[in-house]
Amino acid sequence: MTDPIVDRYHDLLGDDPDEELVPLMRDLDTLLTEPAPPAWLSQRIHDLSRTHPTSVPNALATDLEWDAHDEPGGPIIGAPQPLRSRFRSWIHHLGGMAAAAVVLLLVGTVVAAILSNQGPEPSTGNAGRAPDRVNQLPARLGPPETVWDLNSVARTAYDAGLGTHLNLSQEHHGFTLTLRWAYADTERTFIYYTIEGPPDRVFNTISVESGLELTTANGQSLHHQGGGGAVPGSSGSIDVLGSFTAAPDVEPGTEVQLRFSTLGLMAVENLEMLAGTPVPYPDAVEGMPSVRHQGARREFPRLRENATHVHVYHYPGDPIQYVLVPGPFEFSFTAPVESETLPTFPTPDVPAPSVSPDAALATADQANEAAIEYAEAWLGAQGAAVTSTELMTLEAALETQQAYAGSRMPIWNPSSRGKPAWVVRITAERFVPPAWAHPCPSCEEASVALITLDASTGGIFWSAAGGEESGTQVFPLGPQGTQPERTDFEIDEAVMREAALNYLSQSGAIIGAEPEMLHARRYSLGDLRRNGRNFANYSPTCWRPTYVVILFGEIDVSRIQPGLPAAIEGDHEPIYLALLFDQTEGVPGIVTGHLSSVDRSDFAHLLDQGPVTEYRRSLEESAGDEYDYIPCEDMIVLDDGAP
Amino acid sequence: MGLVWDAAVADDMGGTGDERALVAAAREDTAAFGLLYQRYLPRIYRYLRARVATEDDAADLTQQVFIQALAAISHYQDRGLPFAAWLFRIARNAATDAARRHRPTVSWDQVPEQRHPTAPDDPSRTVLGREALDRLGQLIGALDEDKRDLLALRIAAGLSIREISAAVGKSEAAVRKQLARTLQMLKEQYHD
Repeated sequence: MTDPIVDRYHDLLGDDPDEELVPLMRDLDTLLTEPAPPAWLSQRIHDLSRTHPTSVPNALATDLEWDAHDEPGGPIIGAPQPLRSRFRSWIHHLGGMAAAAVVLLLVGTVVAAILSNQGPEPSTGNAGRAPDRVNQLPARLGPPETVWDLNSVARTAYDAGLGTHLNLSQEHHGFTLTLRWAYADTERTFIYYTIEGPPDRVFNTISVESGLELTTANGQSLHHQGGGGAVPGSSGSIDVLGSFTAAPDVEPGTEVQLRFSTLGLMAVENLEMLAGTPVPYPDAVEGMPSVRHQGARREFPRLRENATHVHVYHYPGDPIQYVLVPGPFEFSFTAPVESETLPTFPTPDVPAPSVSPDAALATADQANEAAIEYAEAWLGAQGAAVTSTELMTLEAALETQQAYAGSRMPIWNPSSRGKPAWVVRITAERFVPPAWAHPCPSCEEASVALITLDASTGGIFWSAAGGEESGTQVFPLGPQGTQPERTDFEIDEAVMREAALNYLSQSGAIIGAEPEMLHARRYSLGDLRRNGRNFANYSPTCWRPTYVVILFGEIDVSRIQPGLPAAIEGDHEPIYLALLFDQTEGVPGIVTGHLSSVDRSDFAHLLDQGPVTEYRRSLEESAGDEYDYIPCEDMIVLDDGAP
Repeated sequence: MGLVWDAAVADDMGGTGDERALVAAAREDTAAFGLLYQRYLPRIYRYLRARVATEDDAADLTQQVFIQALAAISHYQDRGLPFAAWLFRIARNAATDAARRHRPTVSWDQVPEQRHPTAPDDPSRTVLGREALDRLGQLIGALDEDKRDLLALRIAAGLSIREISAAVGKSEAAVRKQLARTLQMLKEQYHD
């Protein structure tokens, strides 16, 4: 009689099984196939499949709270409720935090219509009305638990089993970088890697030094669009997810050969967490001078290209020390080019606005309606419940933002030509913006998330505050293609540079050295949107080219954005700053500033672009694509009596 | 309450003749997804039970896996990747994420003590047998994560070498070789 174990594991035991291996397999089979799922689990999953459409937003799905899907009789008695417990603990964690999150909607010209009672009333009357989805989708609260919370699109790909698991490791000087997963399609490339330091040390963070490069087999560099790392846990390792542009000319169903490389690593070692004197690194050499003058700008360590030893930088009295770890860490690998079209960052499940992006919305009322509708839908898809809306001036919005976030974000509405815009403030419960997914302790404590929506020129722009920009969504509204490009003004680069520096100093930044103005040029919004996802690149003024100033230098921006210092680790790290100015009216005004610690190579895609003339040609070739215009003359200039 | 996975238990090691149609249907119809979960629930649970420390963790993660699968099934395309491999990729990711999130966790070698009580009339469940199984559990717990993962996929989840290969992104030969090495190592330790 045939032994069922030998049959079942014939692939492992072979035709002539080892006599000692068979009992082991039998015991393994007994041990590992014995557990059976509890009855309540099957019932819950059964209920889930009946009550949920397959379009459940993936970013939310992992945190679905089960109460909403229980049978009318309530949850199964005695069944474990792990998800619910986690939800409750989060609520507890919130403590006294205001349940509401504040959302700012910059809606420029609504006041005119409201005050005059002309035109349709803006949908601020929707106070208390939550989208239906809100009642179906539970809260997704809390700081990120894993690196996948940083990017819902990557998470979708990862959860869907797309991409390829690599698990390639390299170790230098006790630091191990493991390239774990890669994903590629015709739109994007993701890589997921982890870095682990020596086990007997404690690190606040470990990151790649001087950025990392992802190149194709023929040496083309993929643009690093962003990324983030989860804070090191007790394991001492850090998870990083990097987002890159797609490799050029790849076809779905094929494979792409890629090369990941970084010069080395930089670790911030926490000396306070150590019980005694830190053990010296075996081959370390001393780095920075150990004397620091009060108030002097701190020189920041950088890894030299030809470095072969670990460099340790420690200033007397500092609770941390910088450890530069030379590599290089290099991996060559192949990733399948997936054909799936992943949703667009950040929220793929936002219902489409009822107003088509192609529609011509001439009035501010219509734009406001669309803005609010979009905001509510967006919030609803985030699991938030909109409970109230109110109008306020831009100035009041800034004050509110400052009160909650401790700092003023550069909210600017150039279409109102420097006048206060009107803001719709939406209070929403259970809202955590994607921007909170940064390793940011202050974010965890914050109770407010801010979104701005600008509908003042018939376009909508939102951005989340409370951390860095989390993304942009623009609906071009207005008569299409009726406005000729304006070329009758000149841009004075010296003026723009001065404006940029003024903005920085007025915002509270500390400029450590004379920043280098690397770049000042006009770009189309389309170019910026395509290539600079991290830019808040909306110029509502007539959809004209935006003027971009890119500065490189050591700039302490910790007073500008509350979440930034923790995200960057080190309050004097050189900040590469790109400022976007709206120059279309001939008056330089700051649309927004982008603060980043990325390497200057990240801007290569901008620097490599052609001058304005090429943009014009591109515009002609893509006429009607996304360059919709609204005549500046049609814009309403508000005057609420403010100076 | 009846055990809705009874039918699946009988079939959970079976073939996938109707699976392609079932998966296609599940992308449009959640009722069809229900059939899929019935088929895979025990295997996913057993696999996760072998990867995490407690029954509650395994159950929690199992829920998470099916929620994610339900949300992501519209992205699944049959391009030679077996559905089982796709589903177990989700389970592996969930287990790995959980391990990263909750480290340090209960040592796996504590798991045997928490296993289901055994039937008294089962001759293989004598005291000596339980001790042997407990020792085997400790040996498995001492394996590195990759080895333990492969064992869990092959034995607890019942995946074929080909399905494991697709799930973990390694060649079938590499999977087979690593499993053989692991078993050989366990055999030597188990019989010491």
